[in-house]
Amino acid sequence: MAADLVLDTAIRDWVLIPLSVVMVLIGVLRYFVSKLMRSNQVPDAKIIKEGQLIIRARNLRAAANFIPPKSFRARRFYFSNEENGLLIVPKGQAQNAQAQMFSDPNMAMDMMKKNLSMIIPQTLTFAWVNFFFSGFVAAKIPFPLTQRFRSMLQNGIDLSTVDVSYVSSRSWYFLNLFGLRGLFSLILGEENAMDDTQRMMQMSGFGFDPSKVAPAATLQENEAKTVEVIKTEEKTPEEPVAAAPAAVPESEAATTEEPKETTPVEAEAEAEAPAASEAEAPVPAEVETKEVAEEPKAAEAEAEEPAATETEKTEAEEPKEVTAAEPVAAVAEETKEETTESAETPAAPPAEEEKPEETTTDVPVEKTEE
Amino acid sequence: MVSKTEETQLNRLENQVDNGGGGAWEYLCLVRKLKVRRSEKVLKHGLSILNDIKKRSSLGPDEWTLYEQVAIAAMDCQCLDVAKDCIRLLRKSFPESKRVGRLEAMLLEAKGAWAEAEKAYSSFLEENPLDQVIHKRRVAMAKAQGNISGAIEWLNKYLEIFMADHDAWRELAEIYVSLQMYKQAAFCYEELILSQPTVPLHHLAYADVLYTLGGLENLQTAKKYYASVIDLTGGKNIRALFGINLCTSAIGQLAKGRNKEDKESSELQSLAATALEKDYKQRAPDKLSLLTTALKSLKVSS
Repeated sequence: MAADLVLDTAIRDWVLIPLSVVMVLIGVLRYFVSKLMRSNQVPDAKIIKEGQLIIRARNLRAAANFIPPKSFRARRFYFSNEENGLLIVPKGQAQNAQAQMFSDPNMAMDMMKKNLSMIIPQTLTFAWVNFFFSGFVAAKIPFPLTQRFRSMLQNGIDLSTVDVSYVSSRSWYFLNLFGLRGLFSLILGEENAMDDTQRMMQMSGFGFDPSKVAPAATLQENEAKTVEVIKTEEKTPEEPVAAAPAAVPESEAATTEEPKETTPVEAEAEAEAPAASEAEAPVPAEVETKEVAEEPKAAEAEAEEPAATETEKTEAEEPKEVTAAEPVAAVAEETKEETTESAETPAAPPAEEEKPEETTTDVPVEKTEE
Repeated sequence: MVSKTEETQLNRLENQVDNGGGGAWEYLCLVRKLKVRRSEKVLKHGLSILNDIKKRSSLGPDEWTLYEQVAIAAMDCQCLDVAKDCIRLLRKSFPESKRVGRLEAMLLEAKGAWAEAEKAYSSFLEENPLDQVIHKRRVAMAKAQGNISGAIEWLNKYLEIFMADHDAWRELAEIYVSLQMYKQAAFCYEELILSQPTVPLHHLAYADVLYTLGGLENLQTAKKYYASVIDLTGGKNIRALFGINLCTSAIGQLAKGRNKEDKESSELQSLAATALEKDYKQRAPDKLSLLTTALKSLKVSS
């Protein structure tokens, strides 16, 4: 059956090639039209500032161990103090992406233009193809295919007897629609290629353009960042010496620290109640540790480590690698802040997943003490 | 930041072009891409392309980019006539362009017509307050006029918006150091360390600032940063090695009698001193005696 079909060469000359040429031309035309219609966007100062702020805050979080604890604390306060910290977004003011999109008519307009420039020519060409070329076989691919490809290659032909390697004209249109991207990137330059598939994807999500949503999303992210910055604080005060240059060579703080570590870990086995009372200690201890005195440091370490839950034991046993990214123990004064904030931040990195548990275990201890 | 491979490629191309091996356009493209400042070469080779009609027309629309590049390079070399010609041609083909307007303002600046340039820049900024290049030009202009406090003011304004721009932070830090405002400079260097924690130069500069500030705490921190520079450079940084020595002796002077970590710090110092001696022996044996006396004086004073 399959071998019987002979395709007219006129089909090649009048359907196959014209269809491809038309698709390419339309793609190029659309590129220029959308280029014309693109309103040249004036970036908003606030959004830029926000972006830069986020970068800076991220740097601070990542490289906190490289600056002295005092400087870090100053910066943390600058970013995340409750009154006028740059990262604090007053509750209720953080619009979600959708609301912001609707409040800004320009944004909706842009999206409309974008979508229109894509939908209109696409519907038109589809109608054109459907009207003139529907219902016949336009080409044959030189290798056999399985039945599954029937829906892809023989769209518009409802004959199950035709061999799958024949391509219907409508399917040829679709193949061109999605397959010409490489060609466009050749003609129009790498990043200018119209990516139809990607656009299709966006359309299905009511034209959500990820790049558009990003600045709004950062607003919400801000809160998560704040929490993270707060959390990083617990790394630095514990080890002011090694904290500064993470790489201070052997002779500096590291040697003096390590032997001290064994005792607090053992002390962990003790009851938690006395530990909690000690947990108030870090506040004065923090100030003193700047002097690089060994005594307060040990006291502080003792005060903090027992406050942690059992899950942390394994971490605490490692030689004080506080410089690593893992939060070791929650400083007691911080836990309150965390309980309020960490509840609303679903987007915390996996390392901090333990946090909610930790805080819940900590808080009761504090209460009993009070 | 220009990476090492890019730099070697650039140097190779430059060498090739200098010796008449062709590839001038590729060289200019690379210079533009890496944003390096080699104005003389750019001017020389760019002009050779622009004066050759055949070569110029083969560039197509890139011709205008080249005109811009050459104009800026010419201004840097004070070949104002060349720059003027380039800008005139650009203006002819792009009568409305703001980019050309920017070049014209820069030409005014290069001529030293500060007031006019300032006027032009501020009018550009009114139209588009987020133009980083113009903000930076303004800072540079204030600096060129010797108006350092003005430069600081502009830089601060700029950093308020573009606070993640580490080059601007660095400029500000250097200005502060030149004015001996070390506390502010230290802040800027901290910011630099935050944004690029693995660049030893920032650590070194920060340590220098801290050492200059003085005080026991600052000296100790400075020593740590010198140590981290040594760590980051693999012990290759002479300045950091000297810094360790200086810091240790200064700390010894300040904390006489009540220092507990004397032992370990002197160990670090002696290590640094031996490293220095080894280095001097290898590279400048005739200056070794100077080093030993210097080190001795440090040890004696501590």
